[in-house]
Amino acid sequence: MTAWRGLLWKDTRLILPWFLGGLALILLFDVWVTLTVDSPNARFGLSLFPLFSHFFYYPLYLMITLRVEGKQMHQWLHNPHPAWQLLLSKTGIGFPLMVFSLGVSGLYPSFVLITHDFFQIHSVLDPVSLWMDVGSFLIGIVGYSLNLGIILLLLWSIYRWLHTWWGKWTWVPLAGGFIAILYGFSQIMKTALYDTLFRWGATWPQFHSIPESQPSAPGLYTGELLLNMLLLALFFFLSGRILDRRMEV
Amino acid sequence: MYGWLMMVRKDFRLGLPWLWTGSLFIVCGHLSVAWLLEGQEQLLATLYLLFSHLLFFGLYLILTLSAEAQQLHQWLHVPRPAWQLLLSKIWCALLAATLTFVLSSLYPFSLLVDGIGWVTGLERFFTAYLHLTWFALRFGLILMLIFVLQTVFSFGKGKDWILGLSLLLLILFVPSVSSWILPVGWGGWPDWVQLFEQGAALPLSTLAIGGDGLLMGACFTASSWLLEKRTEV
Repeated sequence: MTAWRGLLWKDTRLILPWFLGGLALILLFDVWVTLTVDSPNARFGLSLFPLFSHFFYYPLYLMITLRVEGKQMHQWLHNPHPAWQLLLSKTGIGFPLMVFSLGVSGLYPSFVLITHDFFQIHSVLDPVSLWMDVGSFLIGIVGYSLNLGIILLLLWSIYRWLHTWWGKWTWVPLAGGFIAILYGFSQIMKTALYDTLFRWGATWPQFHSIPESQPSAPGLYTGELLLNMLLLALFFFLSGRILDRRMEV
Repeated sequence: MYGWLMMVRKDFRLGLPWLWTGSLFIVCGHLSVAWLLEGQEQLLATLYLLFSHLLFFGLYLILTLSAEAQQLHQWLHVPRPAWQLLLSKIWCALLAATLTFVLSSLYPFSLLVDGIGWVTGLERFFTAYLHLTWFALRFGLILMLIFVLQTVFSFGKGKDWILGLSLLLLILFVPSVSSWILPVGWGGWPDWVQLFEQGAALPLSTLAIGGDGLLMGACFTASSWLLEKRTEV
C-alpha cells in the first residue's frame, strides 16, 4: 500500500507542472476577459469558455501523463505493480485535479453572475433552479470528460500494442476500428432491445431554470448510467490487461 | 525567400502529427455527434468544436515552439534572423488553424445551410473565422512572448517566477490601459447568438484592428529581439 502511495506521489509530481500551467492559463484567460471586455453579458459568456474546455481536461491529462511514460516505457513497466494499479494511480490522480481545475474555472463566471444583478436583468431565470442546472451541467462535464479519457486510454493501449506490427500506420486501423464501433453502438442505441434493457429509471430532467425550454424527454436514465459505468470499468481493465500481457518494450 | 519557404515546410512537417491528431479528433467528434446526439444538441456540440479554435492557434504555436526549445541550439543555429524563425512558426500555426477550422465547419454548416442558405451561411462562417482568428492571433502572440521570456530568463526554475507573473500581468494590462487612453473600440466582440440565428456579426472597427495590430506587432518584435539578442544556448 505504501509503495502504491509512493506511485501516486510520483504521478502527482509528474503532472504538477502541467496542472499549474493549466491553472495559470485559466487565470490568464479570466484576467484577459476582465481587462478587455466591457459588457458583463459578453464577459460572462466568454468566461464560460475555460469551464467548457474541461470536456477535454481528463483525456488531455491522461494523454500528457501517458506520453511522458511512453518515452520511458521500460522503466514504467519495470515497476513491480500490476498494470491496472499503474493505470489506477494515473486515473485516480487526474480526477481530483480535474474537479479542482473545474472549480477554479467556475469562480470567475460565478462572480460575474452574482455581482452584475444577472437575475434581475434576466427575470425569467429562477436562481435556485439555475444553480441546480449549473450543478447538473458540471457533473455532466466531469462525466463526459471521464468517458472520453477512459476511451482514449483504451485506444492508447491498443495503439502501443499494435505499434509493434503496424508501425507508423497503426492509427489507420485504430481510427477505422473506433469509427466502426462507434457506428455499431449508435445503431444498437436505436433498437427497441436497447430501450428495454437500458432506458429505465428516468432521471435528471434538464434545464428547469428556463421554463420554456423544458424538454419532454428526460436527459439521463439510470440503466444507461449503469451501462456506462460498466463499460468504463471494462475499458479500464482491458487497458490494464493489454499493458500487462501484450506490451513489448 | 526559397530558404525561408523550406523552413516553413520543415516547420509544417514538424507540426504535422498534431495536425493529423487534431483533424482525426474533429472527425471522430463530428461522427459521434451525428450518430449519438439529436436535434439542437447536435448543433451546440459541433459549434463547441468550432469555438475551440479560440485556443487552437496559441496551443499549436506553443507546442511547436516547445519542440524547438528541446533543441534550441539547433534551431537558433539556422542562419536566419529570429523574426523569420518566429514568422515561419506563426504562418504554420495559422495554416493549421485554418485547415482545422474548415474541417470543423463542415458539419455545423451542413446543419445550418438548409435554414439560412448557402450565401448567408458562408458569410456567417467566414465572419466567425475572421473573429476567431483575430482573437487567436492576439492571444497566441502574447503566449509566444511569454514563452520566449521563459526561455530567455528561465522562469520557473527559481524564485523569478514572480517577475514572470508581473510581466505577464503587465502585458495583459496594456490593452486595458490603451482602451482608456486611445479612442478605439478594443476587442469588437461578435454577438454569437446574433451571428448564428438572426443576422451578421458586429464588425470589428478599423481602429480596433489597428490598435490590436500594434499590440501584436509589439509582441512579435519583442519576441524576435529577445530571441536574437538575449538567448544563451
